[in-house]
Amino acid sequence: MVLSLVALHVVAASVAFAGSRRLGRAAWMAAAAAPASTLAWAIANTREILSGRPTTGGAEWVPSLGVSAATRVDELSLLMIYVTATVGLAAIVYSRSYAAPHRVGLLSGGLTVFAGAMLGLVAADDVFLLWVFWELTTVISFALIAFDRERSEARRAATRALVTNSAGGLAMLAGLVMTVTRSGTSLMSEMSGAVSPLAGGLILAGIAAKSAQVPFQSWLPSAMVAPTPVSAYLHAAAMVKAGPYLVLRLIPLVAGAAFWTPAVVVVGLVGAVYGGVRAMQVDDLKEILAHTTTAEVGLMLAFAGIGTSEAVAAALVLLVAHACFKASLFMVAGTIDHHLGTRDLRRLGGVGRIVPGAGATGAVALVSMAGVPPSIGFVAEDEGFRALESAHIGAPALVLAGVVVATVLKASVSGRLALATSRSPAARGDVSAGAGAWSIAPAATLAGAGLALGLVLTPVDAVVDGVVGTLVSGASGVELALWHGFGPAVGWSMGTLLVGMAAAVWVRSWGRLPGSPFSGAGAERIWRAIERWADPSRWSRSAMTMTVAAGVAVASLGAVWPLVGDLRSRGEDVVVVAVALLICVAAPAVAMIRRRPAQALLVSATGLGMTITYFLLGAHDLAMTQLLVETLVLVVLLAVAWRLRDRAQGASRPTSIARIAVASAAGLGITAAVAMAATVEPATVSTFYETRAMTGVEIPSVVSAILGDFRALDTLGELTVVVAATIAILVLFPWSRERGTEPVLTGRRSAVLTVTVEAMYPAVLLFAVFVLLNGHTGIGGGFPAGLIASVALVLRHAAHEPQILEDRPHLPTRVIGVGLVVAALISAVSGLAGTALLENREVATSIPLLGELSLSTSLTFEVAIAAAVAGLGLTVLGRVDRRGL
Amino acid sequence: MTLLLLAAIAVLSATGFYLVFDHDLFRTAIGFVLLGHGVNLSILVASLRGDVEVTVDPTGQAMVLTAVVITTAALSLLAALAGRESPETETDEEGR
Repeated sequence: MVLSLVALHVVAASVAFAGSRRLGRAAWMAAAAAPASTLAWAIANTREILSGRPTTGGAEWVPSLGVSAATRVDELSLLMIYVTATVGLAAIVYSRSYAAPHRVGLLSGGLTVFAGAMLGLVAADDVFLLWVFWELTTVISFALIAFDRERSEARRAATRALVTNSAGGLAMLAGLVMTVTRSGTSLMSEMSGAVSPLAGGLILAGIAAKSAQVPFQSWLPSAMVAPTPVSAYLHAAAMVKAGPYLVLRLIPLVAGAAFWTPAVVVVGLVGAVYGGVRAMQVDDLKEILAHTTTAEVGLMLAFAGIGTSEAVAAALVLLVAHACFKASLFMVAGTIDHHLGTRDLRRLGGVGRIVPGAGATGAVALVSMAGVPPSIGFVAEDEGFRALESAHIGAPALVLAGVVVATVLKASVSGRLALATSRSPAARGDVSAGAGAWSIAPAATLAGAGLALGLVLTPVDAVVDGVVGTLVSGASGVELALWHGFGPAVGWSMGTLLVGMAAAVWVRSWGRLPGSPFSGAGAERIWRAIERWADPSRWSRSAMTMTVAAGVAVASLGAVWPLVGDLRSRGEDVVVVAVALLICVAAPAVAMIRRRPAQALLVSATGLGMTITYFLLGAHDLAMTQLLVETLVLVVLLAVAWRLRDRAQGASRPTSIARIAVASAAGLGITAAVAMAATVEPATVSTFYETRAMTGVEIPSVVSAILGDFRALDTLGELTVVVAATIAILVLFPWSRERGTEPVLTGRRSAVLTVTVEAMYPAVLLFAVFVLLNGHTGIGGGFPAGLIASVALVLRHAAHEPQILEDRPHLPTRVIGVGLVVAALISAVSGLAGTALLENREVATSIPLLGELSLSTSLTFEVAIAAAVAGLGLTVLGRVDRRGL
Repeated sequence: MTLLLLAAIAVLSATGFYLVFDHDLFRTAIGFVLLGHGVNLSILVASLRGDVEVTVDPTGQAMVLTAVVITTAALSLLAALAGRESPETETDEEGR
């Protein structure tokens, strides 16, 4: 069911995308359908889940690896679903009035897709399914942050977010794989056993990256260039919350790991303090909100890491509270920006007069953020301090100090925001145009929820109680309340609030806190260095082709590696998929890429994919032939590409739809025909061949027998084509001495190459002969032999002075001629001897000192083919090297 | 596995056809290669037999071998033509 809901999100988004121009602002409704349905489903299943019966579901995924797409919605997932669906809905509604009418569909559609990914993330039971959705949120956030594609800072910010989160995601994958291997199952509900420190560290790295914690926090402030609804959703309520969610999920697994709590608490508290300090330093409203997000998520992580029932409760309530007030604050900031044209805190005084709705909403949200009773923010803080009282953690005083400082900073930021927007020099803005109801309503709802949920604690209490019961073993019930009676927790809550407010006033009168280790300049420098390194336009063409080649090589290696072992083992599925992916990615890429060397390399990549496919299908002869052909083709294409380097890459004509349509139809037609043919078991003539071929001295390979004997006429035709092509090339590009300047393959003479080739050349020629003879009983044959021979000859030509081929311009034709004559002679002999034309005859002779030798007349064909191919190779490779080609 | 092969055939053939119609002879040559791959694979897939242990019919293999050789020969000719400098597009003779 959950997976269907995720699919619904995709469908809704597609509708919103497709109809964005036609529907205009109304497109938000299409997008909103999905999160609304999710909410409805959640409400319908709440009672069931809260009484301890989680909803499970799923589908088969990779059975051979024991991985399934299993989903499980328990109390924690339910809470997260409520949060993400509600805030998502609010963000979509807000986007209606935020974006330009024809972009509303795109924006709200993007938000819906993200909501779908979040749904999948929090409902996944299988660790790998969770990781897939985790990475999906990364990718979708990239697209959403760069929503205003034309702005370079949007693109840069999106790239930074992508790089940081992807790196974290990969680290997390490594940690998850280690954990799965250790516990033997990939279902989180069934996992037990400790997480090793290395795995835990890697997973924590991924969490820190996603939740913008130190040292991976810099992507979040720069992501503030994103449209406000995106910030309100992703950076307040959804994406950054994935980190605390995962920490909570892992509580049963890390129960025995002693390193986990200190590590998580440290990461969380460092982030909490850092974020708070930075928020006091900067003046941009959205940036302040970004830093406070880091801070508050850090607090959530710390509490989740502690893992006792009150700590978990505190983390959860903080999560809910933060979602409410932060999302609404972002929306208010967006409205302010829209109406006043500025986000600078120093110029926002009196904003309440200009946009009263936004002002009031902001005020309510700030109440929750500061932790003033009776908001739910206060309940969260209170619970947090109570948790610290009873938790048994190392260095309790230090942790308490950290939490206190973080809370003080949180309160002072709230105070700062409140004061700045009411006391600063008066802001200028259009008083008459008030903020529309559409943009105020979602923010107001969320802010109001923050207050209401604090007053009426029952719903939150029920869910939190359920979560704690599931996650924390041996947990006593948790009771959230506004008032627990006098105790140190109350003292801390009130105390931090007062200190925070005082600090806000004090800082205001002093100007902002002077920066230095917290100025963020270091991160900026690092990013600039990374971007300089990664900028493709600064690369030379050779560097780029080298990179493409290296990438293809690595990909192929990865695909081929499992072949080293047993093909029929479980790895085969993966290899097939990898190869299919390689082919299906490289082929269209060729059509889209404009640089010729890259095209040549990609074609080679598809050829490599074909080689592996042939190998997997059991056609070994074919695979070897294809591999050799790939070599030749690559060299030829690259040489031609070099020849054409000065010619334009082809005018950028608009892509013809007709051409695409015709090509697709033709491709589909072929596929359909094959599909129909493949369903029929072929009535094959091969059995006939196989039985007939089994006569004779040695058992021949059936393919060679077919090529050289039964269907030798086909091979004769093949011979004709090769010779014809060679002659055509020779005629079209006649040898002329004057134009022999500027060779390609021999441009630079390398001593290493010369010596190596000289040493290897005889052995390679001998190997070619071996391959020729081996083709009768095993892999090999005329064609590979000819290719190997021609490659050897050309290598020699490349390593030495160019004169070797230039002195013998007629070498190719002579080679071909010899081969043809030999073939004709022996065929004539066999014809005269009374057998059918070209039929195979074994001739056994005994050579003195060498013993019995059995030759078959089909060998002549192999020789002829080898000669023809060698001639072709020599011609092409030799000619390609000259300016005349 | 057959489904993946069919997908590969579709992609290769369609891309091959698309590129063959290009005005740039180099891209035509590349399209020709891709089309050749697609057709070769389709011959093999059509001749697959066996469900558990999927093997290729030897006759199909032999035919595809022949096809690969012929494709290579034709491609060599195409590539040679593509790299040829025709009089109308001749660039600067010196120093290039």
